Amino acid sequence: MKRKRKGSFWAGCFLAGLAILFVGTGIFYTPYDPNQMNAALKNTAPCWTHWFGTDNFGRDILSRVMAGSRTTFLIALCTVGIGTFFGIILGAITGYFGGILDKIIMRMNDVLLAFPSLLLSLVFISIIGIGKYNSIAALGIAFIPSFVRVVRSEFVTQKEMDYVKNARIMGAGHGRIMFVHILPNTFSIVASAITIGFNNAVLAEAGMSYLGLGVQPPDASLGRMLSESQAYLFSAPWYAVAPGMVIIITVLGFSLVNEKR
Amino acid sequence: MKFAFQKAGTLMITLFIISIVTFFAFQVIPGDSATANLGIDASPEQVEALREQYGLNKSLLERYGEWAVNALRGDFGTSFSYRVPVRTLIGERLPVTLMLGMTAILIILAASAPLGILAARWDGRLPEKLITIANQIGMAIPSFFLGMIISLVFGVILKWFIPGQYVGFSENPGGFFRYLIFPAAAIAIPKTAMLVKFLHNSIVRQLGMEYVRTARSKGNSEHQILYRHAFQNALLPVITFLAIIIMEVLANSIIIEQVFSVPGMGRLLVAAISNRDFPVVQAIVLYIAIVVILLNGLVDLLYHYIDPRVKTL
Repeated sequence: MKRKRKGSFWAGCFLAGLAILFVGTGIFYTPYDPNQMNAALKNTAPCWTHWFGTDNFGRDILSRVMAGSRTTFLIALCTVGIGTFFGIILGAITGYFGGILDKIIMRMNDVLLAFPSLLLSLVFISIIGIGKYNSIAALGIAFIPSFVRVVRSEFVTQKEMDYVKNARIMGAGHGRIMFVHILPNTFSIVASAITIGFNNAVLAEAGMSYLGLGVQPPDASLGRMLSESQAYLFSAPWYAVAPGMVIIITVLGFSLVNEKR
Repeated sequence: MKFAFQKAGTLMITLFIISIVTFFAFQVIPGDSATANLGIDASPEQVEALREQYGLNKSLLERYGEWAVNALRGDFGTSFSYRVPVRTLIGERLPVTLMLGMTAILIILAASAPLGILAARWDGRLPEKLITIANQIGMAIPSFFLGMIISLVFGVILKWFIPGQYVGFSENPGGFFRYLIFPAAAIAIPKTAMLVKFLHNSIVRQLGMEYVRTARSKGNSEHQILYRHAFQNALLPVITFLAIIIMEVLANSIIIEQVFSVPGMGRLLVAAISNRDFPVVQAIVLYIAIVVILLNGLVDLLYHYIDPRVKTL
């Protein structure tokens, strides 16, 4: 039993590492210019010069997937960053102080939490408009409630602990107790929430750009590539393979790493 | 009963707040819909006439009041881009999405109960390992990518249906369901993986409890223990999880309708967002909010009914 779980953890590390390496390489190097078109090479099947083939404009799919996953990762990281930052602040305040403010914020939080994050982001997008930075903002806001919930419940249990009382007797202020004493102790829970959040953000971003409501052309993005490839499902089925696989490997890797015990 | 009334009260208040938020959120957008609709070449008189027609020249509070009263009657105004009442647009598409969602939920329930029990029955052995691996992969596949794989395998290669060639219920009820089964499967498979994993863990947790040992020592068969004791007790936490699954099905149907060109609420919402057709967006957001809130209220009530100690308001 124990051995098997360890195995899945290392498999997750391997897949997540593979995804990070792939995206990391894409920042510095792509085999071709991702936006360079070539009419002679339209919809070429995978071969030695183009490992994953070319698309309907003769652009190298591998290069475009590298550029696209870079965008997707960046958006997902920013989303999780916004969610974690505001989640920690709101969760710390509500969990630590409690009272009427806690009740009001958590009631609103619960209502927001009841909506799937993709749906919430779509609502925000419809208000602020379509675009790369707008989708970061929309996804980021949509991801705050889940972080608030996690951080708050940690603060509620931690604030009753002896070390917090000791710190208070030693004369530490509320701010210091919240962010210097309690916050580091919530690390493992918050880290796990960040991993799950990152996965959900990757899936939500891909979904949004698939719908045409996320990153706009000429920026490559995994979701948009998949939606473009759908028209060529019959004549060029390999088009969809690379972008789809990157999403699956990333999400699978991070969720396996996060599996408990 | 008292609990049910209190619950209904909080639900009403939540809905009221949501209606305020949905209304005012769409008022802060720069440039009103009259100018957006007529373009920049319109004369001031034309703009004024249109503002008059849409009632945009009244105060915010007056407009909210009117909008809320009309919304209660099911009237959400006229769509900017389709020029027909929003109610008609939604009326045509809501049944399609409901059918799609219900088919998906039926598939999820039918598939995850036996798989979850199987995994718990053979915990730690080969069947459980295979199911767990399939689960992990199933949860990592984006539903729209799965939809494309299904289109490729069952549509292009096996030719069981024509991808993108939607069949309406009124034209051909049989064909409608035969088409709908494929998008429903694309929504259902990742969620089935989630539910199987949850159910498996829940049953295994129950099997480790004292009452199971008592049942075993009293001479109950393993079969009885699994189905009569552990499975039934494992179902309670599943209810909450099921509400989350239903919501996820709703969200995923927005994308899947796009993949399979199913003319439902999701496609309407995406088109409305792209065209900045706010009356339609507002109406759909409110519809979804009502479904979400009612579903959560129902889950709390159900919980209270099954286990009266639970009182979450």
